[in-house]
Amino acid sequence: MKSFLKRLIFFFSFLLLILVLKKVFTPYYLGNVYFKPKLEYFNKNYKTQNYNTVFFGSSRIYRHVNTEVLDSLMSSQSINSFNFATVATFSPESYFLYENFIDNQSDKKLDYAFLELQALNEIDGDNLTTTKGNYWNTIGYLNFAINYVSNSDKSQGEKLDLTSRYVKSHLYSYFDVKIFKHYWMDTKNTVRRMGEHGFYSLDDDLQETPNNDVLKQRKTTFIADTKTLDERRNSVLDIYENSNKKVVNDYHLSYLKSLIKKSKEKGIDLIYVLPPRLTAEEYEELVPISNLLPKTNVINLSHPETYNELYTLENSYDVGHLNANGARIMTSYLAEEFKDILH
Amino acid sequence: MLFNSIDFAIFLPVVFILYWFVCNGNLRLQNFLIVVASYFFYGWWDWKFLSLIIFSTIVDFTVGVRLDKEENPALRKGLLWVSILVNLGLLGFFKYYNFFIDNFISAFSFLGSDIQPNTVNIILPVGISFYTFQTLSYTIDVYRKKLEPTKDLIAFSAFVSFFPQLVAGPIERATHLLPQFYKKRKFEYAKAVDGMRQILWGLFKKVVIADNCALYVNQIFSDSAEMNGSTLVVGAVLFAFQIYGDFSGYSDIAIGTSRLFGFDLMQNFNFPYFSRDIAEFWRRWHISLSTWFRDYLYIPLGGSRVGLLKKVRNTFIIFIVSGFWHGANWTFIVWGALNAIYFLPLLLTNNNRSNMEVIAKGRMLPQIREFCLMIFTFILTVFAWIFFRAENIGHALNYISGIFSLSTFSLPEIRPTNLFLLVIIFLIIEWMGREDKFAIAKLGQKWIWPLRYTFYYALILLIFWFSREDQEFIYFQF
Repeated sequence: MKSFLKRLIFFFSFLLLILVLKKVFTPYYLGNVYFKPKLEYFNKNYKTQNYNTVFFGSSRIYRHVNTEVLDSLMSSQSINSFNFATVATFSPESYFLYENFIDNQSDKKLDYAFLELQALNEIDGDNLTTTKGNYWNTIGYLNFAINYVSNSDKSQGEKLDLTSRYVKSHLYSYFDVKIFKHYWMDTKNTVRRMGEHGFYSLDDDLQETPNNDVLKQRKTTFIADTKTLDERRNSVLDIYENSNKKVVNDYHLSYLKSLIKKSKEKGIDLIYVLPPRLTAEEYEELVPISNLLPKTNVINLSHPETYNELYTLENSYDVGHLNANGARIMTSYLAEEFKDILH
Repeated sequence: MLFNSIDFAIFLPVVFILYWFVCNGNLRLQNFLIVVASYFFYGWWDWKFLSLIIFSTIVDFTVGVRLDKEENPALRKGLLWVSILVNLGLLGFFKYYNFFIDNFISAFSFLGSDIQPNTVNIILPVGISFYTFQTLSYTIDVYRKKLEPTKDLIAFSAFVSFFPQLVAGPIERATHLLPQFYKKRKFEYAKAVDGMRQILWGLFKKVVIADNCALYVNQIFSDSAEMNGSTLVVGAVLFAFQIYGDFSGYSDIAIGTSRLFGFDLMQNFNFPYFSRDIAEFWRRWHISLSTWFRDYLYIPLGGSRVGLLKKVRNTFIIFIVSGFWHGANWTFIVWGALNAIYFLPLLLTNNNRSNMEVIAKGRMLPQIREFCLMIFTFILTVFAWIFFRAENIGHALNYISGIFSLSTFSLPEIRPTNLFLLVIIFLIIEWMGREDKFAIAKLGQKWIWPLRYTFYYALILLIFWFSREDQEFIYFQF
């Protein structure tokens, strides 16, 4: 029995070592099939394009921040931006990508970075076992998630459930060898969706892929019931009226501040962006926290009255996203706010 | 709880440690642990249906005890029928109730009567087809006085619910498995290592071969009307590997797991796709079920020691019942009947036992004749599998007519090249190990350990690689 167990332990320890080494030595971005070609493109064209500003986040940045528009509006400030945001890239994945990016780009001189302000993703069961659902889940980010959850105002049951999902996702990340697929996968589709300097509007996407059922369905569902936009707008207004009542997640706030500091040490001014069209639950958490961040490090474009155009039907693609015109308007607002910060 | 789940990966070592470290030396405690662990294993799926296993256990245990005391043949027969009716009644209700009601209604509507359907939404309890047959074997053997009835309820409960084979077999005979619960079990290193190897190979078959074949099979069978003939052939061939990988993989994991606990289960699959005729195929495919039907149905009906007509009747009965056992659908019945049609010529010409030895024994390659027979038998089984996999008879017939069309001579619309490569590697390994109980039982044993470990690690990494559905991240479009 002892001999059996000894050999078994040796066998599985060695296997575990292989898996840990895999996790340690895999390029940090390899699990995000959309981020990888963006990074490759950026590295290749960095010098010719003189990129000095980058954007990170989810589709709320990817589909909404038109880098060409921004660069033209801020030509006097010599802004040359690249949009690294990718679909379904939520916290902590987006924070992970940003942090690793600045750690690994010391040879490049960047002046500004914009990072979408996000609440912790309530990673769901179906995504838990996908490569994208766990590649970013290092010990450090598992620690981030656990601390974030324990400092949140969720019930004990919800805390336990969410923590266990993050732990599971972390464990899966060791056993996930499918991540290597991304080394040789066909990136034709992902490169296409990179658009101009990383921005690609939902309208352009649909125009180029008219048979994309999911894209079509999102639009038709929204058009069939546009009341959802009014409901969202009103619920967000309610949040603003009561934003002081919400308890701030101190751990999240201190993390965001530490990231500002870390960026500054690398010569980058980090600015958090609170985009429009999130859900009321997200704003309930993020608006109070954005109010506590230094004014020069946050741009909040979410107020439905201040930024009324970002909540209108004609500028919408679906309830959560702007169309190409909406993206242009949001980018111009962003440019204005950015100019204010620079002054 | 699925064998290829993280839950089982935690459950198994915990039970193993408790079994050999906490309960070691105490047979009753070990058996009790097996019962608790088995109920937990089953209850992980649905606690409510545990009551069925417990009920079945108590009925058969009681019938066994009463049979031992009872000498009156009529009463003994009555007791046997109690067990048969209870077990088959449960099976019939949960598995076949809606099938019979639907067909009853169809038959009446065909005759012009309109009956309002009264079907109910019945959930099929996992493993019910397996454990009911296992407990029945006990009662029948006790009735036939082939087996001493047990007075140890714990041992009997462990026999009925033994978790490695509870949900998907092999369907053990009481004469083989039950006595193992009475004997003191000692940990055997060689047996445990062998068990681990068999688990590894079973996982490979299930996760790498079966689950990946399933991706294409589901697509091809669900859109079969849109596919060309050659794609339908690809779908049918892949289904043959899917069902083999799935079912035999599960059996391998079950047998391997049992060996870790000191038990020997019967071999359930013996490289069936290397058979040279259908009779040989059926001696190698789902052996525990085939032999169950042989011993408890075919032989009592007279087997092959009867006249020609009865021989034909018996053959059809056993194959059709076997088909029906797999599911409540006419497709399974046709699948069984088709196999009976394949089998009959061999039986009637006394050629059903002409290929008893393993193919190309002691040789690396088969003779051309053997190879052709093997391919021919494989084609027959693939053809029959179409009925097994189809949604209904109409679907199967359309699928087959699609195969027998000119489009079969065009290139398949779906060409899973990587999967075919995997299947070929899998077949080579199976071929190399065909004289053993499972493909990698001896493979690599003479290799130096780094090479052997590399082989095992490669299998494990392949299992990890294919371990989950290759699903897209749900919100990828945004």
